[in-house]
Amino acid sequence: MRILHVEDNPGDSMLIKEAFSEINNECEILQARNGKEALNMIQAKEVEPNLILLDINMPVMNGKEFLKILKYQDDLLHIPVVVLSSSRAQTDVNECYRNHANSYINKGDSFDDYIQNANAILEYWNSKNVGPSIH
Amino acid sequence: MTLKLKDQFSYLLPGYVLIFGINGNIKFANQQFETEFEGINNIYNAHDKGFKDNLNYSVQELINSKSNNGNIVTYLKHKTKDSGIWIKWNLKFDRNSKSVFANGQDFSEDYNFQEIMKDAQSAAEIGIWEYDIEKNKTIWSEVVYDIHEIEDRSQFNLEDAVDFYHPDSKDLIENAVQEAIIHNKPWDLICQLNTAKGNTIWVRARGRKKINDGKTERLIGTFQKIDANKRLELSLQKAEENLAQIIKYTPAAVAMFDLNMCYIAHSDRWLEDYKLKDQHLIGRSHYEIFPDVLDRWKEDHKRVMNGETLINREDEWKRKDGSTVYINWELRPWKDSNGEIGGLIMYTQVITDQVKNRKHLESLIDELNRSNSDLEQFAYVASHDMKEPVRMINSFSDLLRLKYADQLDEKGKTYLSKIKNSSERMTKMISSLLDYARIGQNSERQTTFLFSKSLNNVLEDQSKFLSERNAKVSLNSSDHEIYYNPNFLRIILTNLIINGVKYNKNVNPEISIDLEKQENDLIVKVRDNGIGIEKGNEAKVFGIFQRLQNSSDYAGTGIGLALVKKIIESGGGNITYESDGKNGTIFIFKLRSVKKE
Repeated sequence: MRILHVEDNPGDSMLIKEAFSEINNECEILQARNGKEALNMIQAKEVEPNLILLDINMPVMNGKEFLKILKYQDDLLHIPVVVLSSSRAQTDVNECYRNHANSYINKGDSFDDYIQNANAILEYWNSKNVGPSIH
Repeated sequence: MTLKLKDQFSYLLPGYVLIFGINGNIKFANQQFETEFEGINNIYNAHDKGFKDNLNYSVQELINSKSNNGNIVTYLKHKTKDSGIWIKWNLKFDRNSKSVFANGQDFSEDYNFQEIMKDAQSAAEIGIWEYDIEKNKTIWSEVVYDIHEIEDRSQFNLEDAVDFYHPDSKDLIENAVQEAIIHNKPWDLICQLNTAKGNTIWVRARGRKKINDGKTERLIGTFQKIDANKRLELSLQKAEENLAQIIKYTPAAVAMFDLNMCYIAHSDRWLEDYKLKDQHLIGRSHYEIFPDVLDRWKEDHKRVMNGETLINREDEWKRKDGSTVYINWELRPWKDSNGEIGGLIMYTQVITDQVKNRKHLESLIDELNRSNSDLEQFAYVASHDMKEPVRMINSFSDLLRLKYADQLDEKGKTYLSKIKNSSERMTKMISSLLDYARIGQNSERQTTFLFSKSLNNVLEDQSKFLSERNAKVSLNSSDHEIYYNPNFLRIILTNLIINGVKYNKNVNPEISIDLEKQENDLIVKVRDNGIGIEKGNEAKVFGIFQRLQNSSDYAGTGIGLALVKKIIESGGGNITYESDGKNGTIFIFKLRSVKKE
C-alpha cells in the first residue's frame, strides 16, 4: 500500500512515518511538502498513490487548492483523499468536503493520537480499497 | 377815467375780479368782491390771513415767472363771517400792463362740494378735522362730532377734545401730535375714546402736518369709528401680543416668523442659545440674522408654510465659523384668525454637548470593541500557532519514551516525564484559550432544548472522571426548556461540575443543581460540597489564568471559570457565587433565553 503524505511540517511528516511503521511495515509513505509538489509527482505518473493524506495549511499550494485541481481531473479524482489537519473550524471541514475530500480527521496532540489516526486511516482503506466515484 | 370805468363796469364783471400791480398790491376790485369781502383794505387786516397769503403767494409766483403770459389756477377756501366758501381763482399775468388779472368763481356753490364731502364722510363714518397750529384753532366735520356723541356743538370747546381719549390712549395721541409738529411724522393710531354720553368706543385716528404756503402750519386728519369686526381684530392682535409675551418667557428657544421668515416673536432663551443677546430681531429676516442657514432648511421652511409639520430630533449644522452645532428642532405652521397660515413657529434645542458626549462615548465603545476583538483575534491566532510546536514536543517525547526509554537511566526517564507533563498541560491550556477566544468569534446557532438533555450529555462525557471519584450529580428541581447555544451550556456545566468535584476533599463529592424560571431567563444554582472559596478571592475567581490552588495539589488550566463567565455574559446573563470558604460553593448564574426576531 502506497500513501502520499502532503505536509509542510517535517515534524509531522516524521511522526506520521513513525506511526505507520509502528503498526504496519508494509506501508510505503511518500512525502510532498505542498500541493504543487504532490500534483507534480502524481501527474508525472511516476507513482500513483493508493491514498493521499493531506494537510490544509501549506505554502505554495494549500490543501484546498490541491483538492480543487485533483478532484476535477477525470483521471485522478478516483484517488481517495483523507484530510489530516490541526484545524477544528467547521468552515474548513465544510470546504474540504465540498471539494470532494473523502474524509477529514484532526491531527493528534500526542504520539498515541498519531498511532490512532494511522489505524483509522488503514481501516478506512481496508473498507474502501477502491476510491469512491463522485459521478 | 379809471374810476369812471370802475363805476361803470365793475358791477357787470362776473364773479370776483382783482387786478394786482407789479408790487403785489391790489389796484382794482370789482363790486361783487367788495360786497363779499367788505372792501379791499379788509383783506389786509382780514380775519382770513390764510386766504390773503395764499392769493399773494400765487400772484408773486406769477410775476416772478419768466413766461410772457403766465396763467395759474388755484382753489382757495375763504372764511366769511358766517361760514366759508371755496373760490376757484384764475390768475393771468399781462407783461405789457405789468398787472395780474384775477378772476374768482364761487366753486362751493357750483359743485355743492361741501355737501358731497359731508355725505361721503358720514357714509364711511369717517370724519375730517383740521388744526391750525399758529392760531391753536380746531375745525371738526359733522361726523367727528357724531363720533364723540356731542349734541350741543355750540357749547363745546374743541381745546378740550383731547380729554375724550381714554387715559391709556391720551399720552399716545399727544406724543403723536408732537412728533407730527416737530418731525413731520404722520400718525395712524387705534385709540379708545370715552364719548360725551359715557360710551367707550374704538376709533382710528390718522393725521399729518400740512404746509400750505411755506409758512402756515396745519394738522389735518381723519377720524373713524371702528366697528365690532375691527374690535375683534384688535382683540386678536391683543391675543397675539399675549402669545408673544408667553413666547418671550418660554424656557426654550422658540421663535415665531411671518411668511417672509421675519421675526414676530422669540423667547429670551432664543437670544441666549444663539448668542444674540444685544440684537433686536423683531421684523428682521431670519436669513439675515443667520446667513449660514442651510439650503435644505430653507426648503423645510417653505414646506411648513404650506402646512407641513417637520421634526428632526438630531440635526447637524456646520456653521460658517467652522463650528458644528447639533439641534433638535420642530417647525409648525401657525394660522391667523381667518385660518390662513401666517408663518411658522420654530422650536429648537441645542444639543451639541449631549451629542458630542454621546459620540465620544460611542467612539470609546467602538475602540473597546475593536481592541477586544483584536485581543480575541490575537489570542486565537497565537494559541492556534502555539498548538503546533506543543504538539511536536508532546508527540516526540512520546516517541522518545517509546523507542529509547530502555536506553535512559531513571533520571533521564524523570526528565522525560517532566517534559511530557508540561507539554500536556500546555496543550490543555492552549485548547481552553482557543475556546475562550472563540466565544467572541463563533456565532453558533441557538436552539430550544431541555436543560436536562445538556446535563446528561455532560455526565456521559465525564462518566469516567466522575465514577473514578465516586462523584454524584443531581438535578433537584423540575426540568425547564431553554433557548440557548447548547455547546455553550455544555462548556458551562462541564467546568462547574469538574471544578466542584476536583476541588473537593470528600470521599463522595456531590453536586446538586436547581433551576428557577424567571420570565424568559433561567436561574441556575450549582452547589458543591468541595473546599469552598476563601474570602478575598472574589476578584480572582473569574480571572483568566487565575488559580487559587497550587498546581501540585490540583490540576487545572486556570481558564475554566473565566470561560464560563465570558460565555454567560456574552449571552446577556451574569454569574456570582456564595461560599463561606469551608463548606462548598454555590455558583448562581442567569441564562438569558430570549429569542431574537
